[in-house]
Amino acid sequence: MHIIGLLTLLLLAVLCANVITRPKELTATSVNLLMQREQENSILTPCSRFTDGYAQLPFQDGNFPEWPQYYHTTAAAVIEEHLQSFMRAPKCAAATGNDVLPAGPKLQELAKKLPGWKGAAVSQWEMSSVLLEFLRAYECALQERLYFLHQDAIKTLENASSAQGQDTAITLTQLITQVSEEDETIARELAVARPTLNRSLAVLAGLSRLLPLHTELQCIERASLDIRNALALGAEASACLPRIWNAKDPLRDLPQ
Amino acid sequence: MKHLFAPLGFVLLLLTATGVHAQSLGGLQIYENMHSVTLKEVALEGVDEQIINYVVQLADQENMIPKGKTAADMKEAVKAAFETRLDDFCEKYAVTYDACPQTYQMFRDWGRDIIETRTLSTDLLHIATGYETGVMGGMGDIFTIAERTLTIRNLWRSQDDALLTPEVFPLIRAVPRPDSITDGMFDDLGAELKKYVPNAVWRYRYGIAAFDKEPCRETQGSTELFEAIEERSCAVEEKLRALRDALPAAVSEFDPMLQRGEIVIFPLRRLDDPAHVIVWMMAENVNGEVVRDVGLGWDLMLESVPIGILGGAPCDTDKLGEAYCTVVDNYMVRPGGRYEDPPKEPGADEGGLCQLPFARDGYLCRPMRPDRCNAEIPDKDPKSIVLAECKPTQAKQPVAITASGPDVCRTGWWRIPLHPEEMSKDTAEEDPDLRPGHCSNCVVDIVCSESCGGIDGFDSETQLKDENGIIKICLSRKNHPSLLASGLIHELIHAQQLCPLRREDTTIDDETCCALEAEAYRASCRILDTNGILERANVSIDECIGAGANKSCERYGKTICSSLDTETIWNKLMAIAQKDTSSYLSCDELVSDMANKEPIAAAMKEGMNGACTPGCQTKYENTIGNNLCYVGQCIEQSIEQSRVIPGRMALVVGDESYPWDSCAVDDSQAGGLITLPAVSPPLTPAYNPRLLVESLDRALCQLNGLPAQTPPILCQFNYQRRLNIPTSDYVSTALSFAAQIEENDIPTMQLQRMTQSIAARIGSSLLTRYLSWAGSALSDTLRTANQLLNSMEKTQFPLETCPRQAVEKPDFCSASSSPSE
Repeated sequence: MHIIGLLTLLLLAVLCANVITRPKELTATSVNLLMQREQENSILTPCSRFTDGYAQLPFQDGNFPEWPQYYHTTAAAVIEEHLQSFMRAPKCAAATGNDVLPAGPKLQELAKKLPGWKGAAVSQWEMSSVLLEFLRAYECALQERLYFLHQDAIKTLENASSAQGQDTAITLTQLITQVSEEDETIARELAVARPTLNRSLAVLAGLSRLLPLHTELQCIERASLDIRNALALGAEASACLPRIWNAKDPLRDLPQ
Repeated sequence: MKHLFAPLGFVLLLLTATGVHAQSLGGLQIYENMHSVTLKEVALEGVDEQIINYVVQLADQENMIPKGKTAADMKEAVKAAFETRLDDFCEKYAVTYDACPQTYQMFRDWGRDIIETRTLSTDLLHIATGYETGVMGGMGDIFTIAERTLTIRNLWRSQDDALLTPEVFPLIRAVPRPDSITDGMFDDLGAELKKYVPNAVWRYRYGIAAFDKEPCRETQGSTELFEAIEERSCAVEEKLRALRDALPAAVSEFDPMLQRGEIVIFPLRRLDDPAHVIVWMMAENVNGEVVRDVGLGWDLMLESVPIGILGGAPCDTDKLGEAYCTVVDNYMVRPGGRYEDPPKEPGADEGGLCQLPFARDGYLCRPMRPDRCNAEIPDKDPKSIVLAECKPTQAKQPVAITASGPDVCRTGWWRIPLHPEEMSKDTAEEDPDLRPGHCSNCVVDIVCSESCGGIDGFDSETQLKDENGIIKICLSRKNHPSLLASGLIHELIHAQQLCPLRREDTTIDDETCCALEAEAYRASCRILDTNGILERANVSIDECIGAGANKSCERYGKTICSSLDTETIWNKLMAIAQKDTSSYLSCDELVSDMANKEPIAAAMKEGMNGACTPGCQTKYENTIGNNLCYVGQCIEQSIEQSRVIPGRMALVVGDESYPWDSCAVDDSQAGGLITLPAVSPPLTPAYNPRLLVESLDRALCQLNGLPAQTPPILCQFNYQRRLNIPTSDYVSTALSFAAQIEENDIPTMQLQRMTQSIAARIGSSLLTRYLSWAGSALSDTLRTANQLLNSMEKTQFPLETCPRQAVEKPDFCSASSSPSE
């Protein structure tokens, strides 16, 4: 009897724990709270697409089918640009280390849309951080879409119908199909996006650790060329030294 | 005086060797590739034929192919399973519906398992690519740290550096591709190559020189990495050979002529198709012969050949077990996937990685030499594992002395002979008609003789300058050919020492002897080192110098110059030299064609001419070091041989020769307070893995709120804790018990993350310590150069000379000393 009692209690406890740990749904109050936190700390803000910080990212209600394409194309372009940065001439006269290799246009464009870099300059060194933050925002957006999947699916179907000038009444079959498709996309993206970026960064991390050194060496090389040219001029001048050996034949004018 | 030689040298290296880098790298598509790999792994999308075959073969081995079905039928069924078409699968597999989902899932699991294994192998290769690109020394990488470093080093170097630095850097030059190499040749190569990508790129990444010994036999089609890199493709080899044969084949075809050991790199060429494949070409002067090679490479090696999963026969039962081999032999499948044993890593003499010009100086290809370290590691932890350490020689080394202070770049290695034809006037016989030109105080007459009366085995001698200014050098024909060049350079140093002196001024005592001999041996031992004789004899350059000087000054006493075991060192050297069977020139060949056969010796003869003497030309490669050599020699020649302010010599120190000596503009003190950086090769910092592991153990205990324990596993979470110490009620005990896994997971996860962070920081710290040492000399030098150049810029020169006639009015003084721009 004791065992049965204990098992029952355990079952109850697990059920309770389930209830307690069940994720809260977002409400207007919680969105306000998120926005307040974002204002307090823009860098460590919760990554909700309902807040101002992430409003510039195109993860909006009406364009869900385009999210994966946008995310992967942007990440691919930033990574491709990063590889090109090995070919880019650094600004050796820059005042700070970060300015030596400023971010390429694609990285800058993406960074501006993320709260961490809105008011700050971004360097090419920070490519990994920017992409990881972008991934976080994407995962948050997917997760939020999942929370409100049915409401959002209804809205999507309604918008699609009204755009075609049809009746906005939605059938259950339509809803189930839409929800099922979106659910599959979200599950797949949540499973694929992070490993893909991790894999890409694993290759790039090895290369990127040498990027500062490579940049420095380029600057030293250019400085060395300057010094060589200056010394070549010095050598050219020193070729005149024999002409002053014999001071009886002055190169210069005697004072009048 | 025309003095500047404007070589293409390293400007060309910048422009041509890295020319390929200036192109856009576009289309590497790293992210797209990784996305596709991940989709395949997670969602079984885009699965290739090999995986399907693998699952079919496994099903065959497990007797899971239904009767009446063939392997081809099964392929369709497996495809359906991978594409989540359960109904299709059940229909194609044709078993009872009850068993169908189970088999469907099993096939998917098998597929996923082997894809995971294959992905892991490609992931590891990609990570290795990320870490090795740029530092491996491979040709054609999107960037190469070694190439940049060498470029900088070559911008700074003077050829005389070789005498002062313990490091031996390869001489590398960039040269444009010859006109005989056309774009069409690369297109032809690309057309052949794309049939065999990536295997052929793997195969020929270290060049084709190693394949000349064996005739080509076509082997193709391997799907496994270590099989693929042993394949050959005769058509590709033929195209590569055509490129190689179009490269210059003689030392004299290069301008300036290739020096011994010098390497030429031709511009890398990226093929249009297949993409991202680079063709590299090089040539090298090996003992006077030009050795050429051509090979392939990637700008970023992402074309991995994955783990082998099919085939594999014959199977080695001793190594892999009978059961495994039964499956391999009967079903042509390698369960779980398998890499073949990797081919033996080639050593320096066997080609491979160590053939490549940048990689050959890496730690894999070059043994640690005693002269590379000159200090012990201070404060070494007793628990440390020391990666590299050498003890410096404790022997006293003689100090070079000269007649009139230091001589900048006196050996003349930095100069390029202006008139090689002049050299040919000196034959291997005695030439009494030779006379010094107006640029020099002496002329060298090198004579090959049967005996010179010098040290046994290293028999050569330099005689004092005669009344005609001739310094006769005798080289014995009995010397082993491997020691001839070294002996010649040794004697030429003596000739340089004697050239500015009058015969009667040449007095030698024990100290002078040691100093003069040490200077000469410093040059000749460097040549022995370059030829590899010192390395084989396990003798450092310092030991060679000390022992040689002792040997040459023996008439003043035993070990008079350096407290070394002279006989042992010398005998070792001579023994190794006698065993050297490489092809060397005879004395007569060497002397009669010195300009071509031993350009350094020719440069030394050129060095007898004053660099700055009016009416004499000087030619040198435009580098920072060589420019400094020229400036230094001009200043030295001016200060030592002339008085640059008119007047008489003063009687005592502090006297003015003429009152208007003080009219000279104040010394600008440029560089007066500059300290030159010490020349010291960097050491690899001590690496203490045991201490690191101990600190990790401590961290594990701290994470669990426990003191350090041995073994540290005792600090692991105690799963019986809640049972031993229950809480006051069942519910909280049960909740606590249920949450135990998570409680254990958190510190485990933290430890895993922290380990990576700690490891990264330790790695960075080791690198920083290494670089701060290695880079400090360069940064000090750059700072000094900057300071000197700034001072030079600010130097103001007077427009008027000091008065030189006593009758002139004294107020000229103030007029002549007023500085102006």
